Amino acid sequence: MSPFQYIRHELTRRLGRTLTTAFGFAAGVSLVVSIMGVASGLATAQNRLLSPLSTVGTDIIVTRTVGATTTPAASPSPSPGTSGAGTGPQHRQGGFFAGGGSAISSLNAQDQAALLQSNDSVLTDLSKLGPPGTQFTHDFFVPGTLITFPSQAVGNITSIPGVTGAVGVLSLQGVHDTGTVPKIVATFTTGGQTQTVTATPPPLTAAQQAQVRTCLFQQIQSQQGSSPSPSPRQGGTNGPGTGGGFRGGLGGGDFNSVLSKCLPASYLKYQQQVVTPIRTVQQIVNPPQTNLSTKSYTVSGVDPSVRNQGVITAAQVVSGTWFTSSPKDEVLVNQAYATTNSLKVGSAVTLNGTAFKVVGIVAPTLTGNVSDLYFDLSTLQSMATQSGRINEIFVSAKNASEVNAIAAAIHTKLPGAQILTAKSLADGVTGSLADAHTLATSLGTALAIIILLGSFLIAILLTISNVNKRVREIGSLRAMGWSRRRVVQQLLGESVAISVFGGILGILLGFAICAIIDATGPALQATTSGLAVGASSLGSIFGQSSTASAASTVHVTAPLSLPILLLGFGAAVLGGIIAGGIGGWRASRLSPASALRNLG
Amino acid sequence: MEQETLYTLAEVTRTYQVGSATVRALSEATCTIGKGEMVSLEGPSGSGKSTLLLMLGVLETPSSGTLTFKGTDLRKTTDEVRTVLRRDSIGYVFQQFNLIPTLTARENVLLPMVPVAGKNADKQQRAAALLEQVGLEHRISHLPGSLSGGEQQRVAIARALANQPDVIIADEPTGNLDSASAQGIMDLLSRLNEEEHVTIIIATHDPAIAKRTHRHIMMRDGRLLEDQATPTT
Ligand SMILES: Nc1ncnc2c1ncn2[C@@H]1O[C@H](COP(=O)(O)OP(=O)(O)OP(=O)(O)O)[C@@H](O)[C@H]1O
Ligand SMILES: [Mg+2]
Repeated sequence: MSPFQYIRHELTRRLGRTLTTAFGFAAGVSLVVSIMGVASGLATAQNRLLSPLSTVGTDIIVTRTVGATTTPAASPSPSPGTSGAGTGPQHRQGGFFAGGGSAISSLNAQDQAALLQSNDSVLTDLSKLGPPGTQFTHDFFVPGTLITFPSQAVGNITSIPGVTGAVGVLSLQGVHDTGTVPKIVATFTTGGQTQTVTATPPPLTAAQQAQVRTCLFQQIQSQQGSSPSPSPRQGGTNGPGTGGGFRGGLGGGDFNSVLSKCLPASYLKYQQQVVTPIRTVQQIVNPPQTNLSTKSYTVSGVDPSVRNQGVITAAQVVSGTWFTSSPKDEVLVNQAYATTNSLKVGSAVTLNGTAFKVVGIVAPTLTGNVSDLYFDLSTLQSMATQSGRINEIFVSAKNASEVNAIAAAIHTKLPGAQILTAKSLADGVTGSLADAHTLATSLGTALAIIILLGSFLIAILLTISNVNKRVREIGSLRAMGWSRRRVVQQLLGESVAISVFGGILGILLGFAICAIIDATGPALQATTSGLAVGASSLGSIFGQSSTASAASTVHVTAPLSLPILLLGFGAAVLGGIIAGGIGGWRASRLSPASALRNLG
Repeated sequence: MEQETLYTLAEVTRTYQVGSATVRALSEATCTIGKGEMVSLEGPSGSGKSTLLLMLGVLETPSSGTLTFKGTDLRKTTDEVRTVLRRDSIGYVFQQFNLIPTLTARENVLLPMVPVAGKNADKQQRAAALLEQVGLEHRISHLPGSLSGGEQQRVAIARALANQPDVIIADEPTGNLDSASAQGIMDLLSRLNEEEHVTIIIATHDPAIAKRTHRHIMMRDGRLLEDQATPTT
């Protein structure tokens, strides 16, 4: 006979006690296994909600934001000693995506032009909508802080190794204004200033001074004889003049021409520097005298031919269809927006006089920039006067391990790009959904620990009571020459064997419980408003929260993975070791003499 | 003839602490027990018989005095040495039999052999032979619960013999048996003593049992009083 047989007989011939203890373990294990299964199911479901990039076939989102660093090489028009008037936006935005020597550095000029154009939208000039007093309804589209850039950047990204797809999206803030064209409109001219150069040329020699003086005198005399009319360009917004006290009775332009004739060549170099274009802008001055009412919403222009990657995918259409073959007058509407605005498939959305047919209702995931309306990209580009421009690129990678390398490559190719990966998005997520996830995990863990401790305690108590009942048996074993160690091994072996049995039983029970949970699958609803893409939420720059939101239904499942089963089983065996260890320790402390005397 | 000394006791005293009181269970016991002797310990309840047997069985150590077993001073041994002495040299028989209820007769007899090296088949065979020796060849696969008291005590004796001990220590082995079974057990022990030369030490209240031994030690209040030998025929 081996100790193993003794253990086996001890378990099989005391079946009642064996089963009681084993079922204790099994109950613990099955509950722990199913709790962890549910927790893992919830984690998976919530991960899907919290890292939504994967649901739109995307690993990286590339945007470009105000305040991103620019490369010095990209800075256009050096304009030393700029006076600061009128050139702000150009300077601020000029450098984006213009890495030194990169393929799109040549796009810089266009880039600037397009940006200037978007700044000049009708938003700043309501007079373009008609004569003062006209009632108007107008939708404006502005990029907010999601600065647009030429769509050629998509091609740049596609050429990066490891990138399997890149799709450009134009996401804009739509502003729906109704009101009366205001009366007070001022027209003024900007630009045309000659930038002064702060430089210290060598002082004129006595000979030069005499020469200049003579020259000037001659020139002024000849000029006064002809036409001394002042320049019409010297309106309200004249920049700083160039030449202090010399202006006298002469118009600035005339004086300049006189001066340029007389100054030595080395001084002329500092003249005729950057001359900004003259532009006439009509702008509302003072608070507009109009009953302007504003509603804002978000729109995205997507490529209708890309169905599975981008800000919205065909899979997210909940009713109706994706864009048809003629997407120009079609629109997809976010479920939440459709509900609040009573829109259905077949309804019409009218923007600036054009009616768009609602072909589909979509349920976007929490992509951070969920939009209310989705248009064909080129349609939106022309509506928003953003031809050829986008402001987001959805990039997919061949595999997840390449994401970081691709992100780095994008940084090199497109300096100033803001890169958002699934991981950075998930890390940045806070709020109730994340809290719920944390709560579920910690609550589940706490519950599992309590249940485990409970079943351990039961097992320990049963083992101790077993040892107490077997004091005489243990005494005889010691009397017949069994060592302390052998007695402990015997009790430990029995306990572990029971726990192994209980663990297996528990796993089977856990399987059954999880199968029941999977079959019934209670549904959980998760709703959240659009999360910000990095710091550049469209809504936040306008001080309004986006109306877009996404609702998702999650069915609770309890998937069982090998690690969970092993963990449950391991916990049972650990419990068996603890219980057997405590029982054995008590037995080993028993003096064989008193064990035999008390009951023998 | 073969009066080789097995035990030497010199003023062996055992005290127990009960609260603040000190109980002297065994008081200055001095004697020797030779190999092959069959000794009975007699005395009223509480006289110290079990205490002395536990001492002789290497389960208890003296509080003072010297106790040597097979030349080993038991007060100077470690628990490991005592465990090996118990395993190889001593067999116990208890009033309550103390069989493992979940093991068959044969498995109970095999139990003391578990810590000993050897082939399982040899052990199995030896267990069967021992059970045959105690007259239980037909009860080999019975669990203790299905055996009579006398049969259980025979299994206990077979178990005590498992590792060929020098001495069998029996504390009231017949205390739970009717007189017929008791005499059967005494027949068995006498035969073991005579044929196998196993030293046998029995504690008993029963004069009829004590009568079957060759040497009678009377105990009272923890002291050894009379120590008389019955001349063997
Ligand atoms: N562990 C102990 N703690 C305290 N006192 C003890 C202990 N063991 C024995 N005694 C005491 O020592 C004395 C001798 O007891 P022992 O069991 O040796 O007597 P005994 O002769 O075997 O009696 P019985 O015939 O009833 O079995 C008794 O008074 C008993 O109460
Ligand atoms: Mg006694």
